[in-house]
Amino acid sequence: MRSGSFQESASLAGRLRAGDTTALGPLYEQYSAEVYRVGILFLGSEVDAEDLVHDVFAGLPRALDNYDERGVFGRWLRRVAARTALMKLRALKRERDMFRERLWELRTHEPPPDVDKQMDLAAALASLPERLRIVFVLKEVEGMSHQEIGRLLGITVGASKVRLFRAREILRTYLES
Amino acid sequence: MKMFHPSKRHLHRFADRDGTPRDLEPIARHLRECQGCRTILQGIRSLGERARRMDTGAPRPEVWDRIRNTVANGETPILPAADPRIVHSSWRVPASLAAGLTVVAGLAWMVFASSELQSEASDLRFAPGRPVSGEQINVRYRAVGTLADQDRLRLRALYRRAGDSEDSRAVEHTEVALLTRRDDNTFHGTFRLPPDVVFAAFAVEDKSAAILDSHGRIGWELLTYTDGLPLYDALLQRVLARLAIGDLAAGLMAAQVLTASYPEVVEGWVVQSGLEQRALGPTAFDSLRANHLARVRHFDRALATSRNTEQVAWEYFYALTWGDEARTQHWLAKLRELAPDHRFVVQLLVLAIVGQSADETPGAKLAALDSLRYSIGQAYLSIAQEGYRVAVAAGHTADVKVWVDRLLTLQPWTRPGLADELSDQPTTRTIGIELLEEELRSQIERGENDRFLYQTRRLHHAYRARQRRRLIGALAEARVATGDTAGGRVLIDSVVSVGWDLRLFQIAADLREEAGDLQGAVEMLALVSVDPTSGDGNQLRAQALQLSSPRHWEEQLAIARRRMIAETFEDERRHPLSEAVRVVDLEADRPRDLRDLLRGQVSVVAVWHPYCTMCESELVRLQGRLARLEGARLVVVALGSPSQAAIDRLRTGGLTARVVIDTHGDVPRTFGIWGARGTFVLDESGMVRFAFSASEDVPRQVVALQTGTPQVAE
Repeated sequence: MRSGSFQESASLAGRLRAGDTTALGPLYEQYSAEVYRVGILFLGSEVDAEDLVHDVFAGLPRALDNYDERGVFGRWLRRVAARTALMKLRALKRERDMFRERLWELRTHEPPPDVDKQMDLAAALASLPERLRIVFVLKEVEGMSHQEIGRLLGITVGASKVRLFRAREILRTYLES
Repeated sequence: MKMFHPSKRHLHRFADRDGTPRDLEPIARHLRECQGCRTILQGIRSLGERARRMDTGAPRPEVWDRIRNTVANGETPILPAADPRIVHSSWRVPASLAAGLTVVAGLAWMVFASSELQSEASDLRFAPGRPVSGEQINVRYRAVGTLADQDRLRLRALYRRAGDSEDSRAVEHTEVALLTRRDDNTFHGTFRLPPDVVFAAFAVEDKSAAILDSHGRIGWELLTYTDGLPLYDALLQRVLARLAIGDLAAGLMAAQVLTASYPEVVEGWVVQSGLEQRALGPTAFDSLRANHLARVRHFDRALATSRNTEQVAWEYFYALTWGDEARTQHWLAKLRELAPDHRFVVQLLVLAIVGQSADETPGAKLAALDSLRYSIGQAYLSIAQEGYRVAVAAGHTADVKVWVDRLLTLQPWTRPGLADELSDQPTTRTIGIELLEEELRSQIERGENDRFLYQTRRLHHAYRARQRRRLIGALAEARVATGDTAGGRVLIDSVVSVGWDLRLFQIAADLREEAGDLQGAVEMLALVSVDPTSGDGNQLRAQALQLSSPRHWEEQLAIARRRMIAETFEDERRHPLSEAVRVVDLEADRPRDLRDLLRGQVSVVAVWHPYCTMCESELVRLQGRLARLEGARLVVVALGSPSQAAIDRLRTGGLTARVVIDTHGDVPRTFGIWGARGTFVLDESGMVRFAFSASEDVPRQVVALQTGTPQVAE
């Protein structure tokens, strides 16, 4: 995955917002894997993750009306992806077993250096209740603050902290056993 | 010495640098010395690193083709521009509608009739809201605070049946349903009311019974109905349920609903009048008497030709209660004619037997009671009670045993009290010892079937532990009194080495002194002396100096003080109030952050539910306990919107402490409580260090915090 510079991404976003659809391709090239990652971690299925990627980038020209260029574009985009994934999650009512099953089928172009450990973590994530997994992903992978998570999920900061604590403890127990 | 490790929560927060430098520095210091905690911290941090490095792959190339086609066709999806708004179903019906209406099944989702007393945020609804006995009930619960993060909750019930006594030890406490979470973040479950249950109260708790919502101790109430009206027995049992938790005012309110719903049932008026006397006191007696005598006269006319035994019986009792002699005799005569074996008539017969002249021996009285019991039936409590009293007074062991067995058959939950009483008297001590031992054994077997609705498992265990220590103390005293001094001392020594119980320390001091173990006696006296609630320190010192030197006494005081502080800190938590806690300060009538009121000295926060009237006197008692200590501050937090009358009652009752109102529901969330009262002790920095403290433990906790945390060491 190639990350563009802040200025480059902002410039591309500006062009796309102005109607220049040729800017969509470079943005897709830079950020599709990140959005796909959000999909995999939230939705647990390659098919649903690809749908998420499609919806986010196809809807990006219109969504950019709400991008105020103050923050880093990639962060803003992942936030949009997370919101969209949450909406999908509620609509899909994803079963945990399906998520677990799909995570075992991770496609990689090269075997990751610690494939066993990765599979362990994937299985551990799959074992988490959805509410805990989402907070863990938002905090640890997406780097959101508890305040941001709270606003996104409609929960209190305290609840976000509790869920993160519980998620970590379950993961630690799973991985150590 | 024991090393105190930070809790896992604190290590997680340390990993996130969540806290002030003052909060984090002690943990950092500990980590420098503790490899075990460093390993845990590393494990916590590595989770995020591994998750971030996890390779989740990339979408297939054809996804880009799809996107291009979609954009080219102008079919752009609309993405959520703002954070999703969590929509709660508007199931809270207007108060005016909630007062009466219930919409029964047939809708896509059911409207749950509101319970009469609602807590300010959590809510439990039943459908149907006006069930008949034996009906299946659907439950919906909206949790807030720490219960809201659970996947499943347990619903526990207190079941009352027609004829149940006030004593809550006599009624069934049981788990009735598991509540499972739904997408709208409410919890749902189903249970069936037993066919003979007329009233139930419910509490919701987490799976480990550590967090509890008992709706201010009263529980979420459910009455059974017939023809749109609550059953008389359901309303009566509600009165008794409220009295059972000591809430006289709530019981009186329930009695007023009873008489309003069934104005022509005499018993309700008798119950109400008794509660009014207790609640309003002697100054209201004259006006109460006038009102109730007028009602006695009304019933006198209304029941002139009645042959309803219970109405006649209660009219007799009503007239007796309010001193209408002529009507008392009239209705008693009618009752005797209608139902010569009615319990009121039997009670008079019993009193006649036991009140016989002094020439009658106890044996003759017991024989007469036996004969009455044989002729009229074994279920009469009054016969068993009086027989027990006569037998105990006479001191005949065989008779006492017989009548104790009869009494316990009718009221098995009274065994601890009987055991204590009997073990205290020489003639009945052996029976008392047997009962104490039986009671101790049965407590182990009982499990937590007798856990009250408003008790978490931890509080129940603490309550049981206290009970157990007291029983063992009584047993120890009884053993010594029978000459088994060694056995008594072994028992006492087994319970004074752990736990904090002033009465046991005093008993142990006496036993050790009697046994010649003067050093041991001084050790116990020192424990009593260092407790801030123990009263006269000079008297204890004088007693100790009769047994030892001043130097030895001072040494024992220092040891006792260290033990008290160490044991007190075993219940310690560390819970910073990391978010603003919005309250309105009654004194200044302006919004404040509660945290600003809690810094600078050790503080006690007493959370008060304004509809818990029994709490008002407890607050005043707590204030009194703290007044003897220097430098401790009490802040009362009222949940919801207390009425001016409730505030006035507090002040009239003697409460001078600061009262604030929790206007936004921040207090339960930040303190981690819901539905139960809570008393919390905070240190000078405003961190919660003790939670859900029993009132008698609060002074010790304050002193422990003022003295300082035990040093971390091996």
